[in-house]
Amino acid sequence: MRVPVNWLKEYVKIDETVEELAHLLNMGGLGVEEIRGEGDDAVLVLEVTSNRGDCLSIVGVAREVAALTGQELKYPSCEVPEEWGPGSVTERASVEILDPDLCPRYAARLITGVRVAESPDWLKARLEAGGLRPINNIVDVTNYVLLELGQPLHAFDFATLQGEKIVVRRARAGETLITIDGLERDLAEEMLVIADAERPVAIAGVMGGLATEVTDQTVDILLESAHFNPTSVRRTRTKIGMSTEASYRFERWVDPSGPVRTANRAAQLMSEVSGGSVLPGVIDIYPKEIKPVKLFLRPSFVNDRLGTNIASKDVQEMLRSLEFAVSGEDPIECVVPTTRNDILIETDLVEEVARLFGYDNIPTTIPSGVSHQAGEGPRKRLERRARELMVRCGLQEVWTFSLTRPAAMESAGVGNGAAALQLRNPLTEDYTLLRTSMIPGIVEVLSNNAKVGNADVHIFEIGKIYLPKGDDKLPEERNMLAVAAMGSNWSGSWGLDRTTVQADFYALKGILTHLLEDFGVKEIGYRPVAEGNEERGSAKSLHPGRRAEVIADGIPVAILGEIHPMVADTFDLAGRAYLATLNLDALSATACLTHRYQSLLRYPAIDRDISMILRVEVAAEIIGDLIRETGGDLVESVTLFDVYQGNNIEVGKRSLAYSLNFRSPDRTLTDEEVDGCLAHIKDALREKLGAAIREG
Amino acid sequence: MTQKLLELQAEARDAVPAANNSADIEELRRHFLGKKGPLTQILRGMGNVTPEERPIVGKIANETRELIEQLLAEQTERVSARESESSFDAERIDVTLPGRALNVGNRHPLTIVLDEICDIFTGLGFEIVEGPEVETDWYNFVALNIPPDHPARDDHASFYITDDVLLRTETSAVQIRTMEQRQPPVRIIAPGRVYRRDAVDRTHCHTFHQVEGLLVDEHVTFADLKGTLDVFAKRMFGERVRTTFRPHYFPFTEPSAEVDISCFLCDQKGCGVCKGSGWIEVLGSGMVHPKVLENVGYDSEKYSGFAFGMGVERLAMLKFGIDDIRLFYENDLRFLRQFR
Ligand SMILES: [Zn+2]
Repeated sequence: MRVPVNWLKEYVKIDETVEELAHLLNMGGLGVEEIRGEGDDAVLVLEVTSNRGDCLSIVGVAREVAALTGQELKYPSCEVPEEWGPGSVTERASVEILDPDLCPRYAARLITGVRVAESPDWLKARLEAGGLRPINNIVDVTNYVLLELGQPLHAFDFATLQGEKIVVRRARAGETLITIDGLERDLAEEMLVIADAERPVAIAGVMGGLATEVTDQTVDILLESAHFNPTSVRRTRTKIGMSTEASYRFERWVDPSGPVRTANRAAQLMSEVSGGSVLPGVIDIYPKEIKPVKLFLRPSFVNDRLGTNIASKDVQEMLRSLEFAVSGEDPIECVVPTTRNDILIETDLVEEVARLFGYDNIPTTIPSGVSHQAGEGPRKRLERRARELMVRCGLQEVWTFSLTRPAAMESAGVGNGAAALQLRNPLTEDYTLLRTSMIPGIVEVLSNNAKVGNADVHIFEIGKIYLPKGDDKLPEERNMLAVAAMGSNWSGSWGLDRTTVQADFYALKGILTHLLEDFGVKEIGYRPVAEGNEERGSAKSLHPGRRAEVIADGIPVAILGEIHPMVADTFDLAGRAYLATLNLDALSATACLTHRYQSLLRYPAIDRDISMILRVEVAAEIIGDLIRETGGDLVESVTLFDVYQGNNIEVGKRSLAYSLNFRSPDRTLTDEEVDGCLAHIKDALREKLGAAIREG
Repeated sequence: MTQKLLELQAEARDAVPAANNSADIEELRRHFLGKKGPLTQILRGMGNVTPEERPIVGKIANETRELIEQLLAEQTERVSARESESSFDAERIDVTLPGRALNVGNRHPLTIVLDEICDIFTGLGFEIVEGPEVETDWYNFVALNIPPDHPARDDHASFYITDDVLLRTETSAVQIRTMEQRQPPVRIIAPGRVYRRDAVDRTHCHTFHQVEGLLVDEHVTFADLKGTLDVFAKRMFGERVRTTFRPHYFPFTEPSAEVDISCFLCDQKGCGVCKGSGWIEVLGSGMVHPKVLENVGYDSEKYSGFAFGMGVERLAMLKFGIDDIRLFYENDLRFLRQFR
């Protein structure tokens, strides 16, 4: 709201500079967003919070200034020069309220014989300073009083009202109204309208109708000053999709004690600027009186909540300065002025005291005590551990949106989004649903980086996917880890073999294995995902020959593989790229982050190598398992150190070389013992897997 | 004999330093000290020396041996130093070639700030809790004293899934879920993702992150709120930072306050970040509204508490001097690698 300082000074004495005044208001709860201009010409732009409808006027702001500076508030004169015209207002017009729940009070006056014309300069200047556009002297007066006292008013061309009558009622089915902006509005039955004997002539509290608006030909004015139910106005203007200066105030509370006073003020000004005569009498229909709230405030309660030591008489003085009727010492009885609808309980009074006392004057203390559960819980700890491990593996963390779109999911091979939670009111087509997979997001990060020339991207994200859960209102929010890699992750790669620095399936597998071991998983298995089984774990995003499901202690927890060439192509990835997604929640139940110490074996180890040629179909895992199984306790470790396929090896076969480490925890092994064991292992490899062992 | 020994010494002094390599030195060692060498020969002839002369000759003989051994040792050292020097020379590398290591992984800047916030409050005895991002209207609004048709809903443009289910607009919803499950004292912070139906620009995004804090106990005061957040601001932005509390309005707190910190960039002289005011708004806070406490079945006469909420992106932008919120979600490595 705009507050011209010179206008403000009509109602309260201000000794402070504009900057000091702005600071005072800021620290008193009326945020000053901006000061436009200087000195008395300055205009304060206020951010009035939605609980302070009483401050949406110059006088309302003056009331706050008076309370904060201790000055006196001077109200504008509301005396009407009534003239004895042809009859009184009650003889000429009538008002009927059919829905007092939505309109507790309706006041009206008649001003006759007006000359509708341009407003005088002082009036136009005030409106413009307040941010409103001058229209004509009658409408301008209603807007002037709206700015001055916060009461929205409406001026009807009295001659156009059928039956010289105002009926305040809910709209009827099928009724429409052309509003002053020229648009035909459909009225819903719950909307409150102002009607004449025949038809709606205004949407109550929001906007008037075109047919009854003030024009150059208008002679007699019916001036409306009412109090409407805030919720009703809010619903109506939301439904119509239009907020006005009037609706903005009505939905934030307009003083129900004000209509007659404000109607008088406007009538006075109208007769002054338009030469009209004010008919004697006021119509004031007030079927549902809104009584002031009465509260009791204990000074001890104030101090217990604020941590202060304010005396009862100081509390009383503060409340009095805000126009509360105050009596008694402890508790203090307070009658809340009807300008305020935000003071309903004792605590609301505590805030009034706090802000007048000054937040800066409240002491600063540290609360005692700690939570016995201080710190993070197991799930958060697991997440932190996963993040640490990824960073230790040299991966860069990324954060992507949980909102995505069907096209992105389809391009990434994770369905069309039909099963995902859809936003009912998306803002743009890019973000219409909640992700059910981490894949589109992280592939997009690869793609966006590739577009700006970052060819080497090794990243991870920890985030949620949102899986609708049968009839449950809320989805499962599953915590996931996603990893993606393309290009090299070396800070320099000169002198290194190209293939060893480029991302590949095994580099990613190595990282996943690190993670699962860190989480204390005992058995880690990698299974190829067969064609036809892709639905499991969104494997459709992956190359059919280069993808695996990861099984941790019997539970499928992750998938990994090379990004499907078609997906890579859609996302403009130049080379091969790889990704993995892992269900952190599936691991959290069993994860064991503390690893117990294992004693170091003191007896010497004996090394032996085995080199063999086998059919390529024989999986490395089977070979390793067979070696360990046959070697038994004597085999401490089995390390693959070479895999070769190509020249000098028969097609369909490959050569594998392992280094075996033999050691006993309780004695020194002899060469004979080890060689005997090695011979068993070789026999088993030959017999069970058809291996040709290279001797010597 | 003495004469012979002195001649031997002179010979050694000439010959040993002239040896160029370790083979020559070994040859000289055999020559001077070997079983057939001159020194052994001389000592063998000791029988012919008179008893009076014997100690003198013996002494000179020993001195001669020691001298030769010392000369040989010195020359060995000299020669081997020279020899390894030349082999090091052959192995010389260009130390100015670039280094080669696996890249360092970094946390996302928002993680860095979030971790820092959580660490500060953990140190103050707070527990970290979480809640769902897809929420019901009750937890997101009604229980927080924002009934349907409340004007405050205008500040929370929401994405709805159904009439009753929406993407949470603030982490405050976690307050309610936590308090429902336990009795005071409650001392929590709730970090998490929130959503607003806002168009994206340099300072707004439909997705952002908040950390909500809540402390409920007997006799918790506004002064405690001020103290706690002042400590937080100092840890987060430096010990010289001061805080000021301005009255504001949030439906779920009463009294409510916005918290400004003194501008740590310009020392309150006025700069672009503080828009010349010397103060930067960083937090919303207040004393928990009695209705909120009653909504979870707490006795609002016996218990009081404070709550606060902060935007993680906003704090990160202040801390790192980032001027566009979209950078956090574009994930350009040239941006992300700057945060360690
Ligand atoms: Zn500054």
